[in-house]
Formats: sequence, structure tokens, C-alpha cells
Amino acid sequence: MAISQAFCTSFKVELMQALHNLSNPGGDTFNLALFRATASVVGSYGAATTNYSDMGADEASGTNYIAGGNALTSVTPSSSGTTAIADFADLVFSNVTITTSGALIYNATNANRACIVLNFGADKTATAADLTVTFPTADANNAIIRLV
Amino acid sequence: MQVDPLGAQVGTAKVTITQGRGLNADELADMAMAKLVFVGPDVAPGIREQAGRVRSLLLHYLAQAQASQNTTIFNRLLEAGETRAAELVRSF
Repeated sequence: MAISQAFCTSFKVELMQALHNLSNPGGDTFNLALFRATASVVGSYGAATTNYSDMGADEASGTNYIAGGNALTSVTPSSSGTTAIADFADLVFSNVTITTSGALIYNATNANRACIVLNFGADKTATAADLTVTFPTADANNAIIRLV
Repeated sequence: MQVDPLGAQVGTAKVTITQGRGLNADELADMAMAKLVFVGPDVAPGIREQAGRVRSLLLHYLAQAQASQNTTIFNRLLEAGETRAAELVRSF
């Protein structure tokens, strides 16, 4: 099936319900879990994804990768012009042997609620290597999470 | 009346993978600098120079952290009687 990069609709609603706190320190813990290779993905993921549990068997597996992914270090949300932005420190999966095609960022503190779905554009394969997810410049045009 | 387009948007994350090794101090310094400060093409020379100094300092301490970690691993391996492995770590 497919992984469509998207801002989860449930996340939009839950932001209005104050169910997510991206502040650091004092905020929730957000995780980034990896999807497996494109050809192996069975489900469809995107705006309709609501929870980490949706990933099921479509989560990647491999040496030194732990189900659930790695915790992100959040950068307290700020504004750039009239746009609200959130950012995370780049995330490294160390010494992994794995193939991935995308990722799900979810709130591990609050019932694993889904936030955003990322599509890496192609399969990325690491063999006993460091796989780094680099987040874009935190400004109004590029930040990983933007409310315009 | 001007109406701004509203929306919730997702940026583009990039994936990079090392080959046959972990991240080195140079790569980590670049990652940290990208989060600390943006140095655009039109930035004043003085600010560019300061950013360069911050990067050099980061690079120094990151490299030292890796070297110190190797020292610790070297000693743990020696204590465990793994002399050959210890020497291999020291040669990094």
C-alpha cells in the first residue's frame, strides 16, 4: 500500500484539545518509529493515521532497532512570522541493520497518539551503520511541524 | 481584505546513513550547528566568523568525547583480558 507524508487529522483535533505538549522541558515524550520497506508495507498511512498501534506489522524491524522507535528531543514550539513551528533534534538510530521507507512520530506519553507521517521518498537501507533522520531548518517555510 | 491561507504543514526530513562506521565528530558538529544557528549567504562576516568558532569548539569537544569513550572501552576490554580487541580500539 502506501505511506503518504501528512499531518494526522487526529493530531489537529488533539492539539485543540490540549492533548499534546511539545515543550522541552516539561512536555510529552514523542517517539519516531520507522516503517519497513515500501514493497513490504501492507497498510495505508497518512492523514487518517491516528495511533502508533496502526503501524502493526508495517513497523520496520532489524538489528538494534527496538519496536516503538527512538525518543525524540523536542524543541519548544515557537513562531516565525505568523507561523507556529515545532522542531526536533536530529535522531540517530545507532549501529542498525534495517531498511525503512518512512516514519511515524507519535506521542508516547499520551496513549501513543499519532502526530505526523513522514515519507522518506525511497527505501533507505543501513547495514551496521548509523541511520540519521535530519529535520529541516526550523523556520516558517521548512520546519517539520508548521501551523500557518 | 487579505486572507492568509491556513494550514497544518509537514516539513521534509532527510535520512542519511553512514557506511561501515558510526557518525564522526565532524558530521555531529554539522548536525549540532544546524540546530544552533543558521548562517545564510548574506550574513555579516563577523557573525560568520563567530559561527565558525562555535563549530570549531563543538568539533573539538565532540572529538574529545569520542576519544575519551575509546579510552574507557580500551580499559574495559583490557580488564576483561581482551588485549587484541583493546589494541584495536586504541588504534581508532
